[in-house]
Amino acid sequence: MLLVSIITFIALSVIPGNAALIALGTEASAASLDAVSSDLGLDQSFSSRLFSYYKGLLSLDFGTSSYFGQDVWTLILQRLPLTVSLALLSLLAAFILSMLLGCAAAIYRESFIDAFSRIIVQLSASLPSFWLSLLLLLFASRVLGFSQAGSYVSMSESIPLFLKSISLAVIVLAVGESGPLLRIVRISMIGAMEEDWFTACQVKGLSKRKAVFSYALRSALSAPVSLMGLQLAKLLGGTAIVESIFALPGLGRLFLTAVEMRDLNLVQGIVIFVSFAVVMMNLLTDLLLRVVINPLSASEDRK
Amino acid sequence: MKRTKIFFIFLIIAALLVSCGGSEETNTSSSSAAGGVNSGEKRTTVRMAVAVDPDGLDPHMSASASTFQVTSSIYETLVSVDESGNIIPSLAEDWQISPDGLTLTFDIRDGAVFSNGNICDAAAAAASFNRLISPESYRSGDYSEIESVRALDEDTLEIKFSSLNTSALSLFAYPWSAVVDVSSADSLRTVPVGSGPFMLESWIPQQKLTLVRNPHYSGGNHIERVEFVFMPDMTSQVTALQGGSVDIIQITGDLVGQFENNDAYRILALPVNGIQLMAMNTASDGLDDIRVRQAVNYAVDKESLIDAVWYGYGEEIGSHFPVVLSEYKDENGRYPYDPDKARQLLIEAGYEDGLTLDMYLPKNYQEYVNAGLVIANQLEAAGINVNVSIVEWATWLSDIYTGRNYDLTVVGHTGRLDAYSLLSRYRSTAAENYFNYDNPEFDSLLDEYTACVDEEERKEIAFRMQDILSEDVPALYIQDPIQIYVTRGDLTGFTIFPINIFKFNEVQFI
Repeated sequence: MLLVSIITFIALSVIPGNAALIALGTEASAASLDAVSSDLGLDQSFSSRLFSYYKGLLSLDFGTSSYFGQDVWTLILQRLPLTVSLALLSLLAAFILSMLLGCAAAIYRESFIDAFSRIIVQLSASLPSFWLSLLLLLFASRVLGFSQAGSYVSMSESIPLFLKSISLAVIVLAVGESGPLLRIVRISMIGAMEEDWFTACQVKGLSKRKAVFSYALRSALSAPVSLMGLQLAKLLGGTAIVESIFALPGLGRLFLTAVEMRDLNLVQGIVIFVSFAVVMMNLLTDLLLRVVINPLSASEDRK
Repeated sequence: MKRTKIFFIFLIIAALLVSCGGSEETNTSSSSAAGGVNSGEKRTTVRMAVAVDPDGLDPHMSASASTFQVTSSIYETLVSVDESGNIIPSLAEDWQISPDGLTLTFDIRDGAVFSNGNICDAAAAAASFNRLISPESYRSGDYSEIESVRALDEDTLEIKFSSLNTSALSLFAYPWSAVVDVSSADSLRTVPVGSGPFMLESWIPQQKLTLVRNPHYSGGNHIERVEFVFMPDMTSQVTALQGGSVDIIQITGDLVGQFENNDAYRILALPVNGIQLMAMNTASDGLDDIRVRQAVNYAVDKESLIDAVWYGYGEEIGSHFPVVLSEYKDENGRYPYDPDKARQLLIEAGYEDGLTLDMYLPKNYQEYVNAGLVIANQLEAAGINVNVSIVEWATWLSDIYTGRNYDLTVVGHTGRLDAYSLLSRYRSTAAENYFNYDNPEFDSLLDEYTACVDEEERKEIAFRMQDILSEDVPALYIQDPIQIYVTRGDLTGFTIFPINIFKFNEVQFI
């Protein structure tokens, strides 16, 4: 995480342009540039800026955003409820869809449902999210008669309205994530059903349904769950386009603005936060896999 | 058993994560509960969609148009402007200019009070101007000719200039010259304190900024609340207006058709105080020859360019001057579209084998990128090869605008109220002169303009400067853009001004 943040720091210092120039735009003059630079602390040397940043970080002070003028940690926390709910809800939808379709496709291979699931995989991979967002937005406003954009209601005000205001974004993200998930579920289910022990179960007299749902499914879960861990980490920081189109104040859009405005503290804060989330997410998936889904292999290790 | 236990632990962790974020939200947005639309009753909340957040709410510490769109409702300037740029009273009820033109005296309105209850008298205004001209302020350069600011008594503010600037009064109309409460100076960026018609209620970045009526403001005010809803995507803005979740949006020309001939909407299409141009680096090889720059002008068909990029919403210009100002002179037609003439001039200049120029376009201004591509296409038809690079805005600012390392670039400039501040960037020594334009006659006209007291004579000098620029063409002057706003049909009083301000206290629902 430290390494990631140092790389970010260097990258932002090397790329052309700085926050002072951007703040002034085409109105910049030499005098005003100096004023803004010293206001933002950009006139200090690279090493002293780096040092003072990490000194603050040790006491969990993420600094102040140069663009918004607010505390970086507050800005991140403001966005967390939305971003976390977007990520969890869309992943949940994608998970349900791909479990149902994926299992069905694996059980009835080469059938109509299998072909349908493959179409979904293809569509999910090839539909650009911005296009799908615009399409849904127009569809909702023209056909269903409700406009979602700009009507964001935060969770603390009203939970039903909050869910309504993020529903389209959840659909778009779910479509994007369900493709890879569906493919993995289908393949691991097929894999499990081709194993020798699966045949043995049936030979032993277990019904096919029982064999599929209590044995094959469990052994096939590990790959999708690890993928979901990765997807969740990605959704926490990478939904900028969808958030921008639906005018949702999420972490991805904040990050996009921070980079555009060369807002070093804010970029750093988000990078550190997201990399922390990725590490935590991997840890959680590992734990989940070992303890909940595959306790058998875990106990075998102990013996 | 063990499994369910662990599952519950995960649930609890997830719930904690969500809820701690949620409570933080409550703290920062305490009273932003949706400005309810009470159908039937008279509406008192106006909601406007804007693309980006303000760059802080301290008018002295920002150079961003998005800031002034908001702060012009929170703070007051000494004087203001009407729709055609004439100076009208605001915080100052009246003003006098001394015979030598060096001293301006303003009579501050009686009973002006900041939104926190502090008195806004001449002393408070003087403190605010001293902050504006101090080196830390972003705009101190524009006010460097101010020698002293003094409060003569409670209502009288005296501002002395070190050199004659006949358009000095307009300096006090720009939104960045707003009078702020200096006792709150350190927190103005997020907690603005001014004497304007509205005050800040809440600002949740990238979501919504809410202003409410300032109880201490004595002027007229039809509405109670103004909400700026931040929506980066234009399609979202359009559907939001159609769905009724905002009242005012700004759109591009291609979308006008959706709202035409419909009483539910009102369309406002007016030229703004600004110009868009393709700058030419007059110090680079080839473009240092005036014949080549003329050839570029002959080679471009501005009408089809404006049609293609701005859907026809733009006023053609021939010089660096917005059509909305009173000193504007029509310079169109000096170099009409004539590709044959362009080719001939290139041959005369010694480029019969063709000429290659580098064009840089700022990536986040899609319209300038589009315009650049259309121009490049037209130049190629006339025998000029163009290498187009699309660069990030930050790179554009450092390499092209400041570094002057380019041949051609398309960009826009916001206007000012007088010819001098508008044209001084063409002075050979100016830091903003990214054209590398160097014409001693033009430099001396700039000096003459500031020293000239006679209004008619000054106008003549402004005309002459426009003539020179339109002859020398350090740029291809494209257009004065037309801004298009669409509002709900029952909303009146919303209009645009030659400087970047809104007057929401004049807006009302009928």
